[in-house]
Amino acid sequence: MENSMIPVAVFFAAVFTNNILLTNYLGMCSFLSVSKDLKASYGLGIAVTFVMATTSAINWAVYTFLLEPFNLEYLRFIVFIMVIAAFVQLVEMVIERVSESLYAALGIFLPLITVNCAILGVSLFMVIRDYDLITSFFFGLGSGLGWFLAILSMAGILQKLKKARIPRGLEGPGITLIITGIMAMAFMGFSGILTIG
Amino acid sequence: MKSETFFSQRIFPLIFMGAVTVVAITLVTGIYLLTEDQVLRNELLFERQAILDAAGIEFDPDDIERVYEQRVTKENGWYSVQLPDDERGYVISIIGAGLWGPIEMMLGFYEDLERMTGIAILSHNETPGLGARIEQREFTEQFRGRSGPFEMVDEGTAEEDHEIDGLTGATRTTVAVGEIINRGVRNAPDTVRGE
Amino acid sequence: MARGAAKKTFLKPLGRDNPVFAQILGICSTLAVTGKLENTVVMCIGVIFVTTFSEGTLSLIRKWIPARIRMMVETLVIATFVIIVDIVLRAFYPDIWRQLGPYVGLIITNCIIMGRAEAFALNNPPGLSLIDGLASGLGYSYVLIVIAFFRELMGTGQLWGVQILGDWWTNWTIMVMPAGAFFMLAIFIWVVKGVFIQEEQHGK
Repeated sequence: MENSMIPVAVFFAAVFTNNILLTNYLGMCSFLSVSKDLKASYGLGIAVTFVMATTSAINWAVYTFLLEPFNLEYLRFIVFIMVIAAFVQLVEMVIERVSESLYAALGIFLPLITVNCAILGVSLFMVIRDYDLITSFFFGLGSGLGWFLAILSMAGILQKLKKARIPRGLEGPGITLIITGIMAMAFMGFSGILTIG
Repeated sequence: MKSETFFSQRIFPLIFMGAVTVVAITLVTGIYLLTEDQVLRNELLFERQAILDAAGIEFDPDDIERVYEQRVTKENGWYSVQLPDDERGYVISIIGAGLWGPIEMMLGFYEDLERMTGIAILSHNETPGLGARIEQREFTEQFRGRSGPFEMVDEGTAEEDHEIDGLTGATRTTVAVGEIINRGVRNAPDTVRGE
Repeated sequence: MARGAAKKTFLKPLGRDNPVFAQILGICSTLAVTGKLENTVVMCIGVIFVTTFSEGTLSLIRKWIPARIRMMVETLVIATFVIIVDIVLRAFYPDIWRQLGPYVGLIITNCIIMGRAEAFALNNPPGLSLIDGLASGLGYSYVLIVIAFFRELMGTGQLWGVQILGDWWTNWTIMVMPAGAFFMLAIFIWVVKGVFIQEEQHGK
């Protein structure tokens, strides 16, 4: 079976045409609440990208060497989320020791990340689509950057909207969702930019 | 005030976590083993259903096993099917690269191995609401009674016989599916008649 | 008195305290499947099951959970029930299971379940926790079912796979796509908040 899914193509698709948030609906909770703050969006975006890329690689290894050989695939939900939680915990501890300023900037986001559906989602998608290690990593990296792109754009737009008059019922999550819908439509326009082979 | 001993701080949490994990895994494994057979049976049924769909045979969902036994014979790498009007048909399975992962499908042909009886999608990883629409009747039905090779055109604009309506917003999936089907159409005669 | 507490616990998440409106929590996993009413209902039943029983279980063991690993234990319990749902679906409703895909597993990260566990289950007896779980699940479900109703109807002219609207209806394909889901949710929130605001203004 020929597989034309080269990592680079998967990467670009994950950022634009198959954006983890705008096309796959994942990562909404923190997206909606944190996008109010531009700086926080920046910090959270970076943290999410980092965790996504790394945990997809780690989970690939765990799945391939631990779960598959023993026919334990059905336990993947538990195992993946535990790996993610443990990894985030580890990262938090390391940052705390190593850099005060970094911890001050990113520290609070880390617990938020563990429950970010997008991170678990990336690992689950990677299993379903049968990606190899390199592709998984680029898929994770691309998805993270795509999410980062979405939240940063949203934060920027919300900044501009601060001066606008919005109907009371739509303030907050309402208008954010509408903007998300429009962004989703805009991103659909990206499909067709890349042709593979 | 209760003092926090080494035990309560380090050891107990570990034991607790371990205990909960063991209970969880036992419970899950138990249910998994109980349903394992049913899962396998479902998968087999699904595959058979796809073969019947691709061959354009109508059936009652409760009756799949019987209709299959009656009409389908598994050959070497393909299926020989007895079509409704007592004609003979063929179904081949084919797998190819979709946009997001492999797409697996069944292609059904009339005896001349040119005119198709239909297609059925077995598995895919395309985007829900967009590329995933390839599994919908509206899409798969288009192939019934037509001969390849096919040309995928914009949704709603298909006119000629060899033109197939693609899916809006899922151009790459559409193109990929078209290529897989055309490859199947090209290879069908060899697969069935050649060696 | 216990009766009164139970009733109160049940009604709270269904009304103003509805987690979806209040904090737009936990919609990721289910919004994806709101394209079809049938899938949404199945998904919601799964969420209700997981929420109810994980709150119940956590409440049962709440006195022994070490503080430090609290979140991991919650996650583990929730994940267990989600796997059960996944396995049962795969065995008995394979077609729907196939359509729901990875989104069943994503119930684990549903913020509502974790949120209720932290806020309620850890501080309340099992009986009330079960009720809270059930109510939270129901409150969550009806929002999504309404969204699915409109998405499937307007996007495909069908409801539960049955053609309702005739040929005169041009399918609003945008409804089938993610953008449509976001818009529907926004409109829903707008309508509901509008109602709440009216109530406030009339000094309720």
